[in-house]
Amino acid sequence: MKRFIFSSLSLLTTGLLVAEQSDYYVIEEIPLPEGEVIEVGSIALLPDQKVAVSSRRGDVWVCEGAYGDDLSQVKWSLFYSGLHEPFGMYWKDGSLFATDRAMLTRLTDTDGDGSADLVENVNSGWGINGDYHEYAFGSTPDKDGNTWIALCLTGSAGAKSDWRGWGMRITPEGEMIPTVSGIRSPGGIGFNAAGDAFYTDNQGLWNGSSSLKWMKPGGFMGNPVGNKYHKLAGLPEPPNPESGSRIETERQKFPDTLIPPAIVLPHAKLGQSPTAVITDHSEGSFGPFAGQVLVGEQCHSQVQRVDLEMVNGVYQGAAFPFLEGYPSGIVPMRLADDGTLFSGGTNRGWGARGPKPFSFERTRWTGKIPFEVLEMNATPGGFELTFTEPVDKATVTPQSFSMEAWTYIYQQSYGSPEVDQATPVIQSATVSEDGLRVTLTVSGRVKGHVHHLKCDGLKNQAGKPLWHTDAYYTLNEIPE
Amino acid sequence: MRFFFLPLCVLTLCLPSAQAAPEQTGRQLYELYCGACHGVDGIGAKSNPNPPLAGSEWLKGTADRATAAVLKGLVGPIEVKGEFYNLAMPAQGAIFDDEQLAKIITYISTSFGNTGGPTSAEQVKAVREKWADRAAPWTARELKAAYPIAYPQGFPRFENLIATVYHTKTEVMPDFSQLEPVSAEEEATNLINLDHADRRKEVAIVWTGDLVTDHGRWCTFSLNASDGARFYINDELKLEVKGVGPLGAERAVEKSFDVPNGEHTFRVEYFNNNSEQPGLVLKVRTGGKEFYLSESRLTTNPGRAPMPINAEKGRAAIYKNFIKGASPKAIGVGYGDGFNLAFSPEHLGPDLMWSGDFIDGGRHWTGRGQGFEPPAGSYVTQLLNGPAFSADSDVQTRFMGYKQAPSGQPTFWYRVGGAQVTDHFSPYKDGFLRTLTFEGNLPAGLSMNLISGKDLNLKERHTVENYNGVTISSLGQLNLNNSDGIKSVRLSLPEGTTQQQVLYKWKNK
Repeated sequence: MKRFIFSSLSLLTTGLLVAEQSDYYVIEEIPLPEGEVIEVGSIALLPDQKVAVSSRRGDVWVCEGAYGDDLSQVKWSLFYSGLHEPFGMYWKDGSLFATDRAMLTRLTDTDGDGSADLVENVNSGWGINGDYHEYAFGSTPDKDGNTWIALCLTGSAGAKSDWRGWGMRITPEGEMIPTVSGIRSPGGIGFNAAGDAFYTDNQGLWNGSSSLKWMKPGGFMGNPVGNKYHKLAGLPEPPNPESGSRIETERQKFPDTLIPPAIVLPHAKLGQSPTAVITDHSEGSFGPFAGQVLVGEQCHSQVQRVDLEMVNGVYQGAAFPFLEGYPSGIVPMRLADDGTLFSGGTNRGWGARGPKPFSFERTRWTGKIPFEVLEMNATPGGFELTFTEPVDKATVTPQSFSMEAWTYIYQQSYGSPEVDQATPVIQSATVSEDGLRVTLTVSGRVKGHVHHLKCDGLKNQAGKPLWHTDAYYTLNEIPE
Repeated sequence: MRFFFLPLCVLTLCLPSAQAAPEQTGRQLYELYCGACHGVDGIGAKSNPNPPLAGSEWLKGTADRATAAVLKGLVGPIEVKGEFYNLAMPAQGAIFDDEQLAKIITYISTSFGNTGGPTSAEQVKAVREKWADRAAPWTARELKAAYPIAYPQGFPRFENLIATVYHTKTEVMPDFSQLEPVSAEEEATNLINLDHADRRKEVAIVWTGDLVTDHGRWCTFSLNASDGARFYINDELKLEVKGVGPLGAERAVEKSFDVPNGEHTFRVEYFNNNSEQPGLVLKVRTGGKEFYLSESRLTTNPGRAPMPINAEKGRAAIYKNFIKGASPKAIGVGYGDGFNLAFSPEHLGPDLMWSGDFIDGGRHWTGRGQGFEPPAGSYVTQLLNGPAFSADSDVQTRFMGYKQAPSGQPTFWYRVGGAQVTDHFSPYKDGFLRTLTFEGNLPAGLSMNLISGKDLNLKERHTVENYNGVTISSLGQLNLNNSDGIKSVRLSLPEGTTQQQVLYKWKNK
């Protein structure tokens, strides 16, 4: 396994810290069928421990043995061939539902030969014009059975086909409900533990940094390029924000519609192409993070961990670095109930740190709990941190922590530098009786900013520092 | 104070960890922002078609070229070190301040063996201001025009280069005295460049001008072309690539001779008859170094490898991607044995049919897969270019899907008004037999469009013939409509449940 040697001048006196991901999580590649190019765009969990993957070339393969002890024994069968770059797939009522560029399709094997022969159009109410960037990312069904679909802009910058830049719900009856506006370039879509829909939007026009956005029905996600399509359904016109402003400023103008990014994933610091959105529903079999959201990362071949909370009616929370060293650029993920995380990747067209052009793999928890910040919650006076194990109380001092804050320009041009830097000060750090919670009082927090907390001085009772010392909290609202 | 992660395979930058916002070096910034695509070692990402920076000719000379590229972005085909790349780098002028970008550009210009000049925040600021009004990303050609790649010292160079373009269909070098020029233009770059011609096939070009050297010396010239080319100095034929053929190493020619100090005349002649990947490369080697006198330095045809898709083991192939001439959501079906069509779920009928090979997946299965791919076969016939049903009625339609037989052949299924329609095509002799079944309440007086085009000829109400020698016939009644010079042939549909058959036939197949 890859071994990360972590050294710094400041830590030399306290000894060399060696953090080993493989102590906690093991990534295993699942062999793909010989000679096939399967650039994995989506994954679906099937009954009987089968797993389906779709390729960017439009094939759907079913894998048996992906949960098995000996991955060299996996068996693959071709379920269907002929989708248009699908990014989203799930199993329901005996069929595979796939969201591809052109439509939400239901694939059914009616004669039981192991491959689909019935291809039904559930809905195809959005437009495409031949532009490669007009992707559609589809979710699993929500609690009402709706499939949520995020429609990328034309060329990731324009809106030349119907409904580009919008998020849709497709009902089980096949009706399309335009649900949110303001999308730029999604990389994945899913739900948090409460069942609310989220998607990742990539840094670019009107996105200073990539982020995880809450698809609050009726909400505007921030990019006005596709606004004009409100006319197609007689919906109110979405906001037209001012370029060069800040999200926090524009929110005051459009308080009900402009939904701020729930979690900013600071560009380059925590990935730069976020993708899949899934929730850890495994109730502990994937480690101590049950109920939290995991976000895939294509460019840096990583998985980030996200702890969401709702404050004053808006989602916000912390993002933490989590897993890395994946063989290719992660696009889809699915977490099975037994705690097996399946992920798949592709490097084609967009570079990734993982060197393989495509891959399919599983990640499992070893059973050993890493020393991590489990949760980070905003409080009226600062932040409360919850840990996965008791901390060494002697290390709970303000000096063990530091904080920086910044935001991004909300603008029409591509991305943004970090701006409006601030240095909030940790005034006090107090620890709970059981050593599992630390309350920080912090002065100088800035509403709307990303708050980068570093816990460099904190130790557990064995004297070890955190596996990941950084957390990035997006402070849309300050609780009262 | 900084931490570094040092994994075995990749040097990955950790997050800065000191109290104040730390200064980042050019290398750190490069590895964070650029390394995923261009590689931490500047050789491009592994297994991925991103251009290298190490040794890139685009980083020679002024650093402003690279600065401008990062500020505004760079899209479309670009040649780097003799290879073609076709991706998009986003504009990042809004991400980096002048100081950061200066560090990055200086790092890449002076690392990985590159010997370009450093730059400064002031210089980046000047470039930013110079292009402040430019909104679009650069194309490679625009960038090269704005920041020409300079001739090195000590090499013979072209001056006063004039390109004259001719149209001709030939498999040998034509007699130019017998041809009328289409255009004559100065080549400001003083490099030979095929892109300036108005077309790529059935074209011939002559470049004339001066070959100048301040250092008379022994030079080795090499020439490669698709199709043919000649290189003359002082009216003496020095090199020739004969006839038609690809740009492979086996066709390259080279010759060494002394080029004395001073000015000489030169002439390069070139033609391409029908090569899909035309090219012309002329380079000179002297004193252990080489320089390209052509803009292109490709050593082989840059074309992507074909990825032919066809019916396999008697099972029809489905290709759902952008097919040229068909609507964007069209479903391509390769039935095998030279029977192919593209069925449009938007139009509810076939947009295209063709014979021969089905489709080449190479366009959509490499890079980002941009563009429409034309059918791979021949006798490509445009059938529908709009809805089959709603042209003269406001009947509601909906594409429902299709069912595939064990042969893989789909039977399409849709709704027209209150009727359920199944629509099946089976290869039949030298064409398709299309069987449509309408069940339920079909509105009265409805007709369906079978083909639209300029050149349609209706014979005896049952057969239509188009320019391509395709005939469409039916026992039902066909009517020719003519609207603004665009003709269409529609099949009248009786009310109620009905079955209709339409025969599509390639006359020349």
